[in-house]
Amino acid sequence: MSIPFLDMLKRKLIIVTGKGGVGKSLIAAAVARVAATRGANVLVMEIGEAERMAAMFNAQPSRGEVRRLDTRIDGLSCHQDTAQETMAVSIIKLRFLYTTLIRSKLFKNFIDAVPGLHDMVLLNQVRLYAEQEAEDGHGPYDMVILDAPATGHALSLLRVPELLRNIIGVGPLRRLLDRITILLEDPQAAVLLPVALAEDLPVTETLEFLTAVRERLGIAFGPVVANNLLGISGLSNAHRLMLRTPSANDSVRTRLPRAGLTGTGFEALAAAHDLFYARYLLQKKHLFRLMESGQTVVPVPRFQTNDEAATTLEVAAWLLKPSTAEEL
Amino acid sequence: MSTVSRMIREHDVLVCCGNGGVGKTTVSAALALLGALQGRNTLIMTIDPAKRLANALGLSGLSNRQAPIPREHLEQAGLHLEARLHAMMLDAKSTWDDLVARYAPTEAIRDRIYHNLIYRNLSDAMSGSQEYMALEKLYEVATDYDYDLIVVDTPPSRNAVDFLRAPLRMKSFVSNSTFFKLFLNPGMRAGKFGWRLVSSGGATLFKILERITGAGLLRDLAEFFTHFEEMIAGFGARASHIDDLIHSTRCAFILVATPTAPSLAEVNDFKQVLDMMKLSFWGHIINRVIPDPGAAGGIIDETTKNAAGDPAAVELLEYLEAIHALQHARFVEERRLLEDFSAHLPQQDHLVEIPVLPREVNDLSVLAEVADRLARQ
Repeated sequence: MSIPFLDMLKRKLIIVTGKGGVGKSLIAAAVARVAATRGANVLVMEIGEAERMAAMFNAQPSRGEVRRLDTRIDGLSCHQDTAQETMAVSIIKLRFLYTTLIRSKLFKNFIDAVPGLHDMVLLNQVRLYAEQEAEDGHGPYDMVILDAPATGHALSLLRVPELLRNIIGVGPLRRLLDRITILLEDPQAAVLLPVALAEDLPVTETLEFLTAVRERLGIAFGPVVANNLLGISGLSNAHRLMLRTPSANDSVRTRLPRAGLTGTGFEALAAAHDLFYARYLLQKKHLFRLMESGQTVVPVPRFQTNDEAATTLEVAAWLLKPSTAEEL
Repeated sequence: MSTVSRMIREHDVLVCCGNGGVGKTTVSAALALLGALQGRNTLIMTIDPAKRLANALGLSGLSNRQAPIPREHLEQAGLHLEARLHAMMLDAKSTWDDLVARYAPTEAIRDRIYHNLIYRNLSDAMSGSQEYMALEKLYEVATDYDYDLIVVDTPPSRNAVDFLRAPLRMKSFVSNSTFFKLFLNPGMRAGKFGWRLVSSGGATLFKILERITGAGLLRDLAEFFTHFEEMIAGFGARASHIDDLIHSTRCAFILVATPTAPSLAEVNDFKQVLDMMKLSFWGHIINRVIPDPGAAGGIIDETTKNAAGDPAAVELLEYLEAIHALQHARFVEERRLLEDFSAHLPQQDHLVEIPVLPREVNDLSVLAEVADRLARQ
């Protein structure tokens, strides 16, 4: 069994994708910790105002500026206006000109009106840091991790170069667009890290997303992280083994009374087991769908902790030890 | 009458908001089912239902058009409805196309827009468009059809609040259009494209932008907005009617969440924007709550003695106790979160819970179970 996950850490750009609610931010933060532990300087980027990395590292929110999250890990929440200015700077070298332009009504309306341009501005920001071209005194970074928006939006974000290629003519903007494309399509440089839950919709969406990526975008993707799995953490090895043994779980409700064990306490035990085991079987079914489609799966347990920063540490520690989905 | 039943009776439009992954589609469908069970002709507007739920609702293949839930599915689930229950799945691109078709002054203009590259990107690109199109479709259905209740499932997004910001998109689209009109040469209407540059400053900026973006982009934009010019009044008026619809007292917003810290943390931002926009909030539906596993402590020690000589029974008990302990720990954590949460809620905000079920919501009988849990609160 290879360690495809750790192989992925050689890339300079990792884009974490997945349906809403699967734990992208958690996984992005944990991967950052793993990379930093192994000596890399990492920048974790997120889009919008959610400031999820502040929660994952118990740190100050970025608010549009690069901020330290931990040793060798910085965070940045991409904001449109800063990203627009950065892009304008790289195209129009004269400060007076680019300032006047981006403050003009013409520019504001233009960038609003052309679909995909907002996203291109953000992608350029990502590219700058991934290629160590940012001139803001931060970095240089060995790796950029992008905590991408939920799948549908991630797909449209990744398709922006393809869409804009048709409408942006030859010129400086087009050159930037081409550089973004080159970065995304270089499998040694950029890779997608899909995250899913072992549940119906997240797995379906992940499989459809990967098909779309394979067929329409030339972007490489790594193993699928199956997050928040039951039956790993919190159980002893012996009990994990019993969970995986159908005969130990079927007919619990007949075996208990046969052994003379009845009463409300036992009923509570049986009921809790019913629900847990039913969810466990559903999880197994959906994990199997992922594996059946040929995806390598990296399982990540559900951890019971007090806060997201603690969970991030647990997941990072877990990711440093190789494991397979077959063990579940 | 239960709180939820009263909600169903007192509103004509219910909008289910929430982050991605909380179960909005299931909750919306369950509320719609309740509506029909309570005798109201109901429509559920979904965005991206799971395949099997979509099948159960009769949605496979049908997009952007409402259709009744198949009778066989209802009968199989033992459901006897007192009223109509229809379902539809939103297709944002078709909704845009329909809008253009409705307001374009001629078929030629309509077709030129359909072929315009800017338009194709706009109706194709997901960001922001889906939320507004959901509102457009809601308005169309509410105006053209005769439902007593419409339940709206909102598009998946990172933040619940994204949906509330949707109306601003149309306003900004209208203002973009108005702005670019200023740059258009009157000769444009005759099909000749040229720019009217209002000042020398404007001319410089314009030339810079043109040089940066390459030949053609600004022209495509100009063409796009020229065609839209005549439709803008219609779009703007429509946006205003949509505003009125969502502000009516018979329209309520519901926030669906899971009993996890990140999901519940969204609420403040959401409420803030909701209050700012003066929209009506009904309350919270917390989905997938672990039911109380009940007490089991103390059993093991006693029976270990009793079961001495039956190691299989002891092994089974210890295993069950371990699982029970896991569930119990989770239950306790969720209770703590939910109690903290409800302690800070304003009195008028309702809060109901849906337990996590051992089965997936793939068919109408499980949906009916969810509806039943809701109806009891």
